[in-house]
Amino acid sequence: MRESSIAILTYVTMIGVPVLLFVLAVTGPFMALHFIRTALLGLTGIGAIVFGAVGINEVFIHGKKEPRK
Amino acid sequence: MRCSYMEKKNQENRNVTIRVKRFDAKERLLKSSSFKVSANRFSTVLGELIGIKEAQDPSLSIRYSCRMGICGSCGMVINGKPRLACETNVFSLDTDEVIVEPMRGHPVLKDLVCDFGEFFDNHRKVMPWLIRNNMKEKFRNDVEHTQTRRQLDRFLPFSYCIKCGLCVDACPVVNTNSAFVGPQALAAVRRYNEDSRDQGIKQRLAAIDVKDGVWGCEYAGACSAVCPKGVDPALAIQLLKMDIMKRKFIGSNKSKE
Repeated sequence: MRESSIAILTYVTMIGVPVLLFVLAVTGPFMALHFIRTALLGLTGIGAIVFGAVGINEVFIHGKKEPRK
Repeated sequence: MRCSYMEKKNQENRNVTIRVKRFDAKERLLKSSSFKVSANRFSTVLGELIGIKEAQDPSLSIRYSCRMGICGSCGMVINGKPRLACETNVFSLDTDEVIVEPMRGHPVLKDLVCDFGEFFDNHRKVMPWLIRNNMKEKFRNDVEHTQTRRQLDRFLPFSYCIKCGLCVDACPVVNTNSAFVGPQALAAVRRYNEDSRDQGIKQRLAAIDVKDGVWGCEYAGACSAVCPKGVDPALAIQLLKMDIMKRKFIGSNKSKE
């Protein structure tokens, strides 16, 4: 997989998760949207996990490379 | 009393201490040596270093060639900033002590001399030459590839690079991850990708679409801040990221492949 695919995941989750959280906050008082809000909550969770996984890969796997001596 | 030109010139001289942090290859340490010099308003750091080598310490190792900011050989860290020694006026530093160090973004060989092997290997990796589908065409003198002013403007700002390595030295990513291809090579990719005569955009973008390629850049912008020729590698890298994304979502311009 090309690195750009991972970059897309990073950008989508980085922007998408806060946007979804905002939508969830705004739609909070509307009980009729319960099903949609649950689906969005699920998406937000997946997004947060993906962003975390990419971050872990970035820091602990790629970041292990040693600097020049 | 009349003052001769030479007397007047001497009055303008200022005593400056040049502190050279010399790399000792045996002990792998930087050791300081101080030299007192008399600088005038035309003195450059390189001029003073050459003077030190000629008159005070012949063992001082420096790399230089053109002395006019064209060859890019005399890159070093002067008062904490990567600069070309030949383009750095001593008076412009506005200090009585000039501290000169070797660049740390490249392996240091001796004193102020760095090894550029890795730097040019990275440069070569990104195919910095015009690629044509029919390579034989390049050697036919009856084929002409004319360019409009607009086409020229697209790559000209990135073609001023003199490969001095200052951007690589300033880059915090290169200094923490030596596998990163570096800002100079990435700016070269942009320069050739934007050339209307080139058809190798696909190969070049594939070569840099890796973790230690274009995506390794954290956009600190130090490369652009230190470039003595005004090339903007940081911009080139962000534009390359956009090019890669555009090709992923929108597709490619087939005439450039």
